[in-house]
Amino acid sequence: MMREYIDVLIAEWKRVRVAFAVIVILAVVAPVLLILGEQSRFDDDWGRGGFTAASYRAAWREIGDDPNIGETLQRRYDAVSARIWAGWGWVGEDDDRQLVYEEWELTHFTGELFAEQQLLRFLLRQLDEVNTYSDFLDRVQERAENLQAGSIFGIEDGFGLRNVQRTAEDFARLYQVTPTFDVASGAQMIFGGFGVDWLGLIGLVVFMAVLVLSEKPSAKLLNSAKLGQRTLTVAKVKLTAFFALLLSATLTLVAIGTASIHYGLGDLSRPIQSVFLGAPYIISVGGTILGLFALRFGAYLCWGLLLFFICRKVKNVGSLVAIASLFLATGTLLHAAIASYSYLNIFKYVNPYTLLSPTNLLVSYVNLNLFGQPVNLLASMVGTMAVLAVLLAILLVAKPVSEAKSVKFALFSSKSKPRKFSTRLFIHENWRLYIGAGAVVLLCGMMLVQGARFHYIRPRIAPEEGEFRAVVAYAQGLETEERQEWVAQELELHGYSHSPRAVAIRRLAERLAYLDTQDGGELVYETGWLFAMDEGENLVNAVILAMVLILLAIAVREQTFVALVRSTKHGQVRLTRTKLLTLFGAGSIAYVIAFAPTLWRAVQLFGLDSWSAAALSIPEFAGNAMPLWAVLAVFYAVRLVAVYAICGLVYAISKRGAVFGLVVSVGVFVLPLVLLG
Amino acid sequence: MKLEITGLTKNYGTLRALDGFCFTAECGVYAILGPNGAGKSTLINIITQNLAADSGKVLWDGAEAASLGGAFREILGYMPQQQQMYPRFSVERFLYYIAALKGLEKPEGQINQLIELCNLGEHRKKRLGALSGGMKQRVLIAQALLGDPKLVILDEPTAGLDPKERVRIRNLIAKVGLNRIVLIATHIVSDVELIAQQVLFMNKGVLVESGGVEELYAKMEGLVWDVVVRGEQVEAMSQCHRVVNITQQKDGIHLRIVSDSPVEGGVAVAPCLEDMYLYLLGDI
Repeated sequence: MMREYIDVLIAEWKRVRVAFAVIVILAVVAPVLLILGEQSRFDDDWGRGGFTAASYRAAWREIGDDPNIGETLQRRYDAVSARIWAGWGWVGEDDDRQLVYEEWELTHFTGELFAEQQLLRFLLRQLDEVNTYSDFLDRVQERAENLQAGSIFGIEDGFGLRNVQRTAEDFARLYQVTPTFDVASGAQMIFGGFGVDWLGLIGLVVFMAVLVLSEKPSAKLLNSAKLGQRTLTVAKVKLTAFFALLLSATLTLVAIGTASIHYGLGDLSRPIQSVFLGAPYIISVGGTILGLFALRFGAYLCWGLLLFFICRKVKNVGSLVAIASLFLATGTLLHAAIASYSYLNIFKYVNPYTLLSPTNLLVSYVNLNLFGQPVNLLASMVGTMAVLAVLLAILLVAKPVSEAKSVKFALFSSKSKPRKFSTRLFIHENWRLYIGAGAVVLLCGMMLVQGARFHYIRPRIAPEEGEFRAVVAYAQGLETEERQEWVAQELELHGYSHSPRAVAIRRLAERLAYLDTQDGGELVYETGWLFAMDEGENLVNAVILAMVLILLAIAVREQTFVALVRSTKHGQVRLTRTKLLTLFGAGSIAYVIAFAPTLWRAVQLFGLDSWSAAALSIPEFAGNAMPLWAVLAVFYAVRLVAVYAICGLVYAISKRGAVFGLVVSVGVFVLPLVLLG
Repeated sequence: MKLEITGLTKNYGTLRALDGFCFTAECGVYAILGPNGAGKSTLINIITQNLAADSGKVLWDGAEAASLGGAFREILGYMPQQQQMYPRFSVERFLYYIAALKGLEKPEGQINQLIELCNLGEHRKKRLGALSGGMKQRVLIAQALLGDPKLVILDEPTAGLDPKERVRIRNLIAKVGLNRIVLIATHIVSDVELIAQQVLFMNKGVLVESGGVEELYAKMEGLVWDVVVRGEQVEAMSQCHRVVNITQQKDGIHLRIVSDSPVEGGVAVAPCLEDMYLYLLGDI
């Protein structure tokens, strides 16, 4: 019997081994995705590209072994800062601090003064975090004590109080941990690349389609064979596990390799808190990476078996993708909608979406609310994965596939009564686009991508930015003379310090000097406005939008029986008009999905105040007397017109066929944007 | 109700697909027969306004179809050769979609009637992508008849249908042709032999022969011969004559030969349309 099992397993392996090639493809794509995700890691607080990974690597290579690394960094930082200030005329050229180094040494790592300052500031901040780790733990304890003393937690003996107590207990154990200062960005890259796990899901879908779906047409034949049912299913489950293992190992190794080349990994035996301050477990960086691999394997195995189960019920890849997307969308929705401390937070964290984010489980601290008791998320997820994998495997093996029982996903039974449909072409074209061609799935996917980007990629707001917002708000409330007097006092008080307050005051002074040259300008906190209209921020949105518009236009255009359609009364002019209207409608939805997160983020993080102020109040819009709201409206209106233009052009181009339309449109509309980025 | 085609010419580069084609049709079924490349599809594409002619006119009741535009297409029902349709549309949704394209306000009665007429009742909720070739063919016929068109053009309407369905569709076409003009382009001669009021033979863009079936039979009278030969004579006879059929019977091998002159030992037999097709257009 065992021999038969092995024979079937080998036969299955031979049949589907070509599908393992998808792992190779993913291994090539993953580094690109990882590196793309790192593009803004070192950007400054205004979104400007700062120093590069190569500079970061060079700095570590040179000063990483310095026993007095902190002093060296500070001395270099002071020298570079002094040199910058000297350029602004705030200190003399012969300032002692800059004379410590030769001129060329001041831009040694980056080749540029500001980038050098940024690099050194970045490293100093990291050093400061590591050196003050015990302060961080003190703050956790202090916060727990404060909360316990607070009215809500003091009175209620519920999850909130227990969670706080549990957090304090768990973090108290970490006093024995001593983080060290070393290359952190490499490890952060490994744990930050959530896109890698989405690639993993794509790989699993491809594999399951080959393993299970491709065999559906022969189901009757296979089931009638002696070993055609249970033995075959067991072999498939084993291959699923093997694929999950290989996939998780490959993607983890690729992430390690990419991070190692891109930044370096540093000492893998140092505590994980050296990289992630809030990590709650006493474990080394290397151990955490191993843990990530194990969790990834568990997650992929569960997803693989889940997809296997779905494959049993569907007939084609489209349905498989649709149902898997539904699972994922539900998980994402629950994750986004439920608050972290809600009594429903188990649904926020234990769902298909979290299975695709194993990187978060090891480096963040979360407790589930299980009937009022705080339960560690990591332990819960490991348990859930084990139970789910065993349950699904048993279910799959215990109930071998039967073609007769395959579910057909038809909305109506074929024996139901005649149904009356609309005779409006617009409604038919919309149904064809959204349901028939799957545009609704495409737009939901786009929403997910944008939501994930919005959720994961957050612009870092420097203390200087916060200070600037505060000083602008304060200065806005002062009369002109009073304001100038106050700024002069503040300048004198803070001098050439590089404290956030001093930086903010200097920026405010520059702004006031600029406003003196503009007629009709007023003091405006501009970051929100600039963020909403920032080219760099909107470029990624534009690439995603352009790709979706191309797919929509091709789907709308698709007309496989053109001769018949054109011979009907409305099959020429009116149909084209209706198709374009449908396309513009879908394009508008895609446009909102693409840009709404940026606009919302601008409002949420920075605010869009002073709507009616003249645009020239902001130096970037010097000379433009339109109100700020009008500038914003024109900016987005022009983009909407561009959306319609792209839709129309792709529609026209794809007259010569979908593939031709896709290739030419991507070349014309997407490639330049990608190259621009 | 009159369709007139006068001097239609169409060139694709140096290839002349239609060469001064002329033809007039009134109520009834008209079969257009011809080999591949004869110009049938080009003719149909011009009539259905999918293609513009280089010269010549298509007239409907004396008015030029091109200038009538939508009004001409309103009286037109066209069934193209079997092809991909929107696979996720159900049969009835597809018919409503075509009804919308034809500008029909309340098509439900017609749609239900056509669904029954084309034997699609059990499949009305099925997606087009899940239908067999024959069922798709029936859907295409149903949509062509939607809107009660005065001019129905059917391109290979019985391709892919089983014998029972072919008879059913043939009878349907005959009924439809009672008060409409029906043009059928086909390779299957036997399908139109029984129902065509007039048959048009096309070759290389030119109308080679046309007329009623009986009229064409009369023209072929005395040109079709049945000869009984031995096995070893078959090859020699095939070299000398146009043999359209070979059957083995008890008394020997029967050769059906189309020939302008009498065949030695041959007996003249009644002609059929296939004989004419091969006589006019076929090199065996």
